[in-house]
Formats: sequence, structure tokens, C-alpha cells
Amino acid sequence: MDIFVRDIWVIPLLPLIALVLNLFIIRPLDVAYRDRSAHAGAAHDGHAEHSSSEAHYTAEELIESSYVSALDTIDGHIDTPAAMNHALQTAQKTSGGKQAVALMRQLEQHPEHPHGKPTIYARLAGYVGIAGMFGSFAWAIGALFAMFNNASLQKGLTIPLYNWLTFGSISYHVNFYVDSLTVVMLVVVTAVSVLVQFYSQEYIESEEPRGYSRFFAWLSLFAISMMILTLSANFLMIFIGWELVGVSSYLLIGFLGKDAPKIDGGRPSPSAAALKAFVTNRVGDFGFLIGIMILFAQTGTFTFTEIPQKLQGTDVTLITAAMILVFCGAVGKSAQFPLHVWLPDAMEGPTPVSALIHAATMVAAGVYLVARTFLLFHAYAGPQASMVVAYTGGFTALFAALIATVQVDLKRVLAYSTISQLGYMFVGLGVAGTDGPGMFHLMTHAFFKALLFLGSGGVLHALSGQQNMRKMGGLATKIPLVAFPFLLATLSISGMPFLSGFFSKDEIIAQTLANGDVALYVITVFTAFLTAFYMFRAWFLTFGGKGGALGGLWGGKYRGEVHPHAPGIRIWLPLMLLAIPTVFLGYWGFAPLGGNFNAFITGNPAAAPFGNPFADPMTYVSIALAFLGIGIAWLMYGMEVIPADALTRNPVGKGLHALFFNKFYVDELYMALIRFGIFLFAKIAVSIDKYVIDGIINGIGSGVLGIGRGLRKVETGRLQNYGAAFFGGALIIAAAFIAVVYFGK
Amino acid sequence: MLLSLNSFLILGAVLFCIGLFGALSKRNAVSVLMGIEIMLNAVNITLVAFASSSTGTAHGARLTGQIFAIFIITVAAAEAAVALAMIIAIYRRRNSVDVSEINMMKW
Repeated sequence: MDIFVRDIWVIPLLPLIALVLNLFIIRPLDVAYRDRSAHAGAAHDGHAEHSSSEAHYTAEELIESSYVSALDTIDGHIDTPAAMNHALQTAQKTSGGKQAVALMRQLEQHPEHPHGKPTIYARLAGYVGIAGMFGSFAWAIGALFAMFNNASLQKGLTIPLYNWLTFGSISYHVNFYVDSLTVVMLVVVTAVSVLVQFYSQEYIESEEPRGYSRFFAWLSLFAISMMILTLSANFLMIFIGWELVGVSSYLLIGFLGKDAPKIDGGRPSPSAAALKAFVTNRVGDFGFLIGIMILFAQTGTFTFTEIPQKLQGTDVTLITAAMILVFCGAVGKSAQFPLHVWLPDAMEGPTPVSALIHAATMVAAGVYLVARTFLLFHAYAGPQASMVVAYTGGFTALFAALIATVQVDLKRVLAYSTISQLGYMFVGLGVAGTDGPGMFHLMTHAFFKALLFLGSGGVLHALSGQQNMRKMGGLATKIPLVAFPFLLATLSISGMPFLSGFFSKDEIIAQTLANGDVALYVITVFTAFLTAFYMFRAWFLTFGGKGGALGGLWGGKYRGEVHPHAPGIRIWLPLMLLAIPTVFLGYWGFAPLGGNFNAFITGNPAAAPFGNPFADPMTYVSIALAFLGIGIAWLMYGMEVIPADALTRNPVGKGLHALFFNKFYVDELYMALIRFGIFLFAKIAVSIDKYVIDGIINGIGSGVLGIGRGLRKVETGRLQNYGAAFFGGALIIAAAFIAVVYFGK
Repeated sequence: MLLSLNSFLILGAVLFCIGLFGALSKRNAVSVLMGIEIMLNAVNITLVAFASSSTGTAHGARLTGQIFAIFIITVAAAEAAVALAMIIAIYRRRNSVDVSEINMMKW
């Protein structure tokens, strides 16, 4: 059994093999095969019958050249997919709504629609990716059970891979480090990844079949990056993994490209969203890098296991500063305030990517980083460091939950919910004595949030990409196989007793009180109430509504235009599988049934298990608040007894609604800062460049030219002038010589 | 009155200046050539004066300057021939020996 832990490098290796196969063998085959069949098809369709010159172009070539030129060549007639896409975009900009939907339908039914079926090689890429991920998942489960069997492995094991560089006495090692924290993380990452990849087969087939093989390659790359990050034994490697995660998230968020057709307008383009995610993360990474450098300067090592003992006697203030800077990286990656702005925009990526990045892996990286350096935060840095962690988390949890209550885009609600739940994790890591509660919530959240995202993907798939909840409603009876697991996850995140979200969230809330931090307790409990409210608001708006069964809980009036079509097994099966941990995983931390997650994650069998939530009277407060939140949502959006605008009729409510709906204007603030701060600075820099630097350069040039023009007149071409100059010069030298000889003494 | 070395040197310098003035100021190419000849002879006087006033005891010490002067006379003859040939060539081409019009030594 121990071999699963000792040879843990198999876990990143298997997806790496899949990546290499996909990127260098299968993807080229896919592209080559696709082009050939496209040309064959074009000839078969009798394109040559057209008399005009554009007949030489196939529809695919037109798409790839550009929409505008396509429109030009066909002279305004909407009869190719390219022209339709163009018309669709125009329709979104001008009228939006029904015309766009109608065009979208027309586009999909067109025989030359580029969104055809993926080729056989594309499918092979999918199978290879899934096989690699499944192998990793199996290995991770093996490692988990190896740790259950042999508790000594939980304490941690360094697996040396190779020595990267040696400078004098300092060596930079590429090593893996495995302990229970790593294994838990790996299980989460691989489990969610394999299900997401399985799910993507159907989702990407309908969304973007041309990128099918590329998508699976990037999914593998993403998983590998996350595994490297998770397995790294030192800051240097974790930073490499960290940046790799950033790159692969960039590739995946921007997967649909800048011209992705959308059924509902007014959203950022995927390319812009990808760039925003990448750039926002750079801001946090800057702090992270400085933090690493401070620690390295103090200890001379990057290795996690060596840093604590070498930090003995270092100034506590310096360590505190370093750890807060390291936390900056986590703030960026885990989308905490004030660097949360990228995550909602990142919803423009394909939904499986949202599930993977924004539920289970990328955003978990920040939490994992804090958990990995937990000892440094709590035992070496001053109390301020963990205070910063806890309060950033608490503030973000509340902040994001408030925004989530008024969003109308289903994926955005989930995005803000993710930010809010990540805030909970940081609260857990900030206040608790071990990294247990935070990591426990990370684990349970990863599964139920992946389920929520994949479920929302199922909805989007059914509605041809419609994300606006006002155009949904009553979908539970139409797509029950998506609705049922989605409901379980909604209950779980809302903190319904006996579901996993309840156990993990309640443990964090209990820890705030155990730590004597009443402010954080109030924030987290209130956020729990808000969570229940906005999640059920989303549920009722999407799946329920007036007229449905059980007072609008299941089914109801459907408000959209698109006819919902049921998803296939590749979509609903992962949802069902994710429902299992969503319901049962919480019992790992339930002491009365023998669950002691805390002991496992800390590697200390003597560690106290989490408190029994049912024995703690305060738990019933949060349960009651969760029920209250669900109840209000039910009355407002399920039974529609209270009108939805009941609170926004007065000016205060209206103002607050506008504030929440516009995300506290943080994006606008940043834009203003960029406009007035950075652009002003840029303008100053430009004028310095234009007038000072260019002035010097041009001045030198024109000066030389002017002197040359002057001196040119000296050259008359007459021998006598030259002779005069020659002898005059000799005279001056002689005079100078005499002067030096006579007067120099 | 015994002529001292300085007298010859002053004569040489004066002659040189006259020659220089002639070479630089005259417009006629032949006059310029004459000025140059005067400058060469001024140098010859200086050389011969130094040679005859030399007190060196080494073999041929007093002869060096005089031999130098003979060399210069020889070279000056050759130079005069070349220069006159050039002047004739220029005259044939331009119908003029005015050096102020000859400004080809540019750039």
C-alpha cells in the first residue's frame, strides 16, 4: 500500500502523458482530419455550382477569415453560418432578446454550421485525457487509503526528485512532499477533474467542437499544474505550480475566444475575462514573491519543513510581514477582496472550466497555500498574520454573499457564492488552532460547488447558453436529472443539517466563537443566512417558481424562449456521482460516528475531533437562520407571496440593490483608478519620453547637423585656405609651446 | 661685424614668412610656386647656418645640414618641374592660372 505514497509522482505523470499525446499527436491528427473532411464535404455540397468567386471558400474558411469579410462576400444575404454569426452579434447589440434567440436557432440548424460533430480523433483526445485523469484519481485514492492504513505516513514524506541547481552552499531541489494535507487535496483535485472531463465530452461537443481536442489538452495541463502545486515541497516549486495554474486558467477561461456568440448580451468577452484573471493574479503574486524572498533571505531555504526551525530567533514583525505578503498571493488566487474581481468575469469560460477552476482547484490553491504554511502563520508570525487571514476571509464572505443576493446571472450567483465560501475557509484557517476546519470546508465545498457549477452547465446546455435566471424557471420538471443533484448541493451549501456543507461550515462558525471572536461569528452566521437565501433564490428562479409542486419547489412556470432539451448521460452521471460526497463527506468530520478529519489532516492521532454540532446550542442558531433564509426565498420566489421588489420600493432598498447589483462598484473603482491613476502616469511618462528623451536624442542629432553645416563652409576647396589654416594651426601650437616653456615654469 | 647664428636664423625666418605670404596670397599659380621656392630656400639657409655653426666633433657632424640642403635643392628642382607641368595642364584646361578659381580640393 505504501507504494501509492512513495511513488506519488505517478499522479502528475499520467495526465502529463495524456497532455503530450493530445497536444502533439492527437490534436494535429484531429485538425488534419477535420480539414480534409471539411473540403471533401464542400466539394460534395456542390459549391462549384455557384458562379461567383466566393464559391471557392468553404463555410469554415469564411468563419476563420473574419465575420465582416464573410458578410461582404455574400453581399448581405444571411445564408452562411459566418453571416449568421455576424447578424447574431449585431442583433444582440441592437435588439437583444428574441431576435438573437431566433437567429441562434437558425444558426444551429444550418447544414454548414461549423459547430458540427467532433472528429474521431477529437473524441480519442477526450478518452485519453479522461483515462489519464482516472488513473491519477485511482492512485490518489490508493494514497489516501495507504495513509489510513499506515498513520505514520500522515506526518509527511519528502520524495526527492532531483537537484535543480547548486550555488555554493544553497541547493534548489525539485522535491515532492506528501502528507495527509497533500493527499486530501490530490483526491479532491483528481476526483473533480475526472468528472469534469467526463462531463466536458458532451458539453464541449455542443459548445465548441472545433476546440474539442485542445480543450482536453488544457484540462490535463490544468490538472497537472494543480498537482505540481499540491505536491511541491518548497516555495520555489509551489510558485512554479502557482504560475502554471495561472497560465492554464488563462487558456481555459479564454477558450471560447473573443467572438464567442452569446444568447444574452452585455457580458465581457472570454478573452477579456481571461486577461483580467491573469493580470489580477499577478498583483497578488507580486506580494507572494516578496514574501517568499523575505523568508528565503532569513532562512536560506525554500523547503517548507526546514523553514520553521531556521526561523528561530528571527524578528517576529518581519515574519508577520512575510506571511501577510504570502497571503497576498492566496488573496489573488482564491479571489478574496480586493482581488476578487477576476472570478465573476471568469464565468465566461466554458462551464466545466468554471466547475474545475472556480470550485475545486485553482481557487483552492490559495487556501491550500495557507494550510501548507499554517505553522508559520500561527506559531511563528505574530497574531496579526492570522487576524489578517480571518478578517479578509470574513469580510469577503459577507461582501460576496451580499452581491450574490441580487445577481440575475445563474453562473454569477455561483461565482459570488464561491468567493463567499472561500472567505469561510480563510476564516477557518485564521481562527482555528489547526488547518482542519478550513481544509474540511475546502473539501466539501469542492464537491458541492463542482456539482452546482456542472448543474448550471446542464441548465445552460439545456437552454442553449441562456444564463439569465429571469429567462428560466420551472426547469426541475423538464430536466429532473440535473435538478435533483443540484437541489442536494443547494441544500448542502445552505447548511441543511446532515449534509456535508453543514458540518464543515458549522465547524468554522463554531471555531470563531471558540476563539472568542464575536464579530467574525456574527459575520459568518449572517453570511450563512444570506447563503441560504441567495442559493434558494437561484434555485426557485431556475428550477422552481409559482405553480410548481410543493409550493414552487419543484417545477413551475418557464419564462424563457428556448425549448429546454434534456442532457445526456455524460452530463447527468457526473452530477449524480458528485452528489454522493455532497451528501456523505461531512461525516468524516462527525465525531459521534467516529469521524476525525482533524486527526487525519494534522497527522496527529491525538488531535481533538471537530465538536459535535448537535451538542452545541449555537448550532441551532445557524440552522434556524438557514431555514429562515430558505423560507424568505421560498416566499419571495417560490410561492411568490412576497413580491420580489418588496424591499426595493423605498429609496434605501433601491440604493442598496443598485449597490449590490453593481458589485459595490469595485470594477468601476478599479477602472477609474486605472483611467485616472495609471493613464495619468502613462501620460506623464509619454510626455517625458516625447519632450525630454526625444528632445535629447533629436537635439544631439540636429546639433551635430548644425555644426556640420557650419564647418562645411570652412572647406572651400582652395589650397591657399588650407595652407593658411595649416600654418595658422602650426603657429598656434608653436605659440602655445612657447607660452608653456616660458611661462609654465 | 661677425655674423652670428641668429642673424642667419632671422634671415631664414624672414624669408620663410615672405615665401609663405607669397604662397598664400598670390593669385597667380606661378607666383605661388615662387613663394614655395622661397620658403624652401629659407629652410636651406637655416640648415646651412646650423651646419656651419655646429661644434660637433663626430665624423661628418658639420656636413649633415649641408647635404640636407643639397637634397632639398634637388627635390625642389623636381618639384618645380612637376608644379610647372601641373600649372600648364591646368592652364590648358581652364585657360587660367588663377588659384582662387581652383577649388576642386573639396571633400
